[in-house]
Amino acid sequence: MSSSQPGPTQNGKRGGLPLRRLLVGLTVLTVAAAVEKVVGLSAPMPSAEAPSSLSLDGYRISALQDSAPRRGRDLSLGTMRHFRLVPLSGEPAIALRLLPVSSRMGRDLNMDAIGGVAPSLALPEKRIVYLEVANATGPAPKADSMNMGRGPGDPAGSTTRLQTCLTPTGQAAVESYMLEGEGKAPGKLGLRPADLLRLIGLQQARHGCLAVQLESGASAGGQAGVGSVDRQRQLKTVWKNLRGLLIGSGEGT
Amino acid sequence: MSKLGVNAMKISLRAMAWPSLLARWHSLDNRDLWGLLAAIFALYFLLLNLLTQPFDELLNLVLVLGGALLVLPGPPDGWQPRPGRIGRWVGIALLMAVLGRGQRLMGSDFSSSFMPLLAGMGLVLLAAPLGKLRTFLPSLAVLALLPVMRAVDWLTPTGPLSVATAWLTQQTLTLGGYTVMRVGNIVKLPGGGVNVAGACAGLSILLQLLLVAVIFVMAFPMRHRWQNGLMFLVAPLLGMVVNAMRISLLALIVTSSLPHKHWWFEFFHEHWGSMVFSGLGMQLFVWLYVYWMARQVAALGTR
Repeated sequence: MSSSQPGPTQNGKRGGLPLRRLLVGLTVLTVAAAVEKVVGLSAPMPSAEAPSSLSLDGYRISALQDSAPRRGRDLSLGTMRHFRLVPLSGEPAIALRLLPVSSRMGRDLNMDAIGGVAPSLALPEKRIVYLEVANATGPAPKADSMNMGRGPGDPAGSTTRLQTCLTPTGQAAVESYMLEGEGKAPGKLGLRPADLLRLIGLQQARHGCLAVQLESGASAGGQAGVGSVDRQRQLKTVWKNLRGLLIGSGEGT
Repeated sequence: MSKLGVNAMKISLRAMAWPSLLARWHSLDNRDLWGLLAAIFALYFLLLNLLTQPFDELLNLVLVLGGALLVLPGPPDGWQPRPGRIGRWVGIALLMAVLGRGQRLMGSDFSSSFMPLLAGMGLVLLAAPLGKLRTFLPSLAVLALLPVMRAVDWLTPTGPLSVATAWLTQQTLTLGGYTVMRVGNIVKLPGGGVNVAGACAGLSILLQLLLVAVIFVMAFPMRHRWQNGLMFLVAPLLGMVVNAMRISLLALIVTSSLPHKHWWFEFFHEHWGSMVFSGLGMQLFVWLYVYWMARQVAALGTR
């Protein structure tokens, strides 16, 4: 560094404003910006809402009361749609909840975290199951991962709920590393326009999915009896029917 | 508490009192304020990365900030910041632009890797006129490594690296006495296996070690160029070995009967656990570098 500098008393008044004031001003501004960042940080709102009406062969579907969207620090929630699906086959009715979720970081995007901010999607007892996707394209078989478990008010050991989160690319999963969508193509070197925009900082990565919960009432036996097995099968069947309907069904951008 | 301790605490509390703090603030000269501004910007970036970026980006930032400080020569006695007429305003504009972008940053974003470099340029322009910035160039070069790393990370296909990591994992587990099969990037043990893909290929660990190598070569260059070059080769290889150890551990967790094994898998797969292996790789690299350097110094001493 050059030693031919003026002494501290000269205070660098070149360019109009004294340097000292500029440095103090910038220091205070940076501290204020840091405080504002800590206090005001929030996840972006989901870019699309869940469909407000559904129609599915073999079911009579009626819309129930929606819940208002909510902005959060790590996860922001869109409007939660609530439907009642009555199978025309005479099987018991199923409740369907659809909740668009947007995450700030991607690492918070998982069903456990979503259940933490949306109590109606909380599962006190669960296990992960994998369902192969029919008619999936690509060389490898594709599977959806989903939580199956019970709601807070259901008898212990029963399975009354199926949950998963569906990304805009058609991936249904419950874990963040499957949902965050940050991955690049493993064998490809090349840029899509969106990649280029992200590379120069003009577009931020978006992490979001549509949380889906199917809920049947607890079977009469409560525990894992024949009724419970039937309910689980029914939940999986409804999910398979709904899957194609929900991909790309978001409203607005 | 001893009487001495109580007295020390009283003195500290008195020093922290508002009038004392204000008095000290007024006695800061431009050089102190410039240093304070640089330190606060560094803290701002750490906070920003902690809040909005993946963990490995935070580690990269820490390395780059530390490296930039390491390669910055100490200022001569009596040095004071003396910006040029235009440079001062360009510097302020750069710092304001960085703050503006930082406030809009919500999640993982490539532009965050440019910010320390832009802020560094802004600070440098506030320190000296344009013709006298040569001293700061090594630090700016280190700050520029952050976007370069991010771009390389983003543009490099992980497919071949995944297969190489799977092969190394197979060798590691075989050395440990396990029966292992490998098909492409899938490593199978009796009772389970792992698929080495995406972040598990270990590109970020490899790049972090390369970053450390560049900083070390700039800050403490070896005697001969070939030795520096060799360290650039050793760093990524060490990164691959360390990552293979991590994948081996994940494979063993998957096939174990460990209670809460899902939690352990997530820990070493996702965030802080993988940082443990990055840290291990860096520790090994630094140890190797210092060991080799010490041998050179010892050899010089015996001549």
